[in-house]
Amino acid sequence: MKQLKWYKKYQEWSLRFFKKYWKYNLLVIFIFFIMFLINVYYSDKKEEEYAKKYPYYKTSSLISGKVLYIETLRQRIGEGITFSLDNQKGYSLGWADNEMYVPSKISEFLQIGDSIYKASGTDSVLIYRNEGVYYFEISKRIDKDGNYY
Amino acid sequence: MRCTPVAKAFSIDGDISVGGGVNVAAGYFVILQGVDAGKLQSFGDFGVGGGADISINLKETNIFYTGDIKNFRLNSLSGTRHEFSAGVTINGIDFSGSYFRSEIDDNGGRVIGVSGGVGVGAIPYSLSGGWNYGGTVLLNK
Repeated sequence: MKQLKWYKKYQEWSLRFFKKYWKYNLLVIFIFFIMFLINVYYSDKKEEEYAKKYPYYKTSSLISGKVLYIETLRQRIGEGITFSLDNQKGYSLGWADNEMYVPSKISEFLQIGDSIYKASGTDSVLIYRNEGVYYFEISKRIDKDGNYY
Repeated sequence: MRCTPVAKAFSIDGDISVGGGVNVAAGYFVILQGVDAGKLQSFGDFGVGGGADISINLKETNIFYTGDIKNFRLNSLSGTRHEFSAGVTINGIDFSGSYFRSEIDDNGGRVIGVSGGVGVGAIPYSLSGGWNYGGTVLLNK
């Protein structure tokens, strides 16, 4: 009962305080909203700069060459991969899994020194390593038997 | 961007922000579209930022994807995001809404979430809100 009385007093005080100062309360929330917008703005600027170096994956893009560098410091979300080839250009690939290989995710499979080829107009990616050729298809999953699922 | 949600999240969400603060959430994703449609996945979420809010809420979030739906899958939901939330507490009952946007993926798509929640607030009558930057992790995957 004592506790309820205490809470009732706290409620009354809170209501009085809110009636008197709600405008300041609203102003504080607005300031945090502006901080959110500033954060989003700088985040977008960083993303734009990164996209200039590593353009987003497109089916229409041609990718051909030897992998010289894999960007690991700033990976984008979604298990894609960004890398540079011996033509000094940066590229991105979206996610792709092929369970016939270990590791099965293209983001973990691709290594420096591999050669990669993706023709324009297709999502098929061929990775050449030693004497082997490995197949992935962007935004597709292939199971251990070679079936899409 | 598709106007229909690609996933929904149901979570319990705790905020402790008095100037600076933290936001912690845990719950389940239900995937509605894309290659992982029909899957359920538990997740945890943590953010740090600034705000004026002390509350615990049950939240439902509608999640949208700005890119081609073929590129969206469960893993698109993990990663970093910016979030803004606002709410009002009346007689100790907290009503809140929030908006978050993820960083962009390699296909140029982004995950956006809009949520509504109800819970309890520590200050019986107040306006609450804040921003936070944090990340979502898929649990037991």
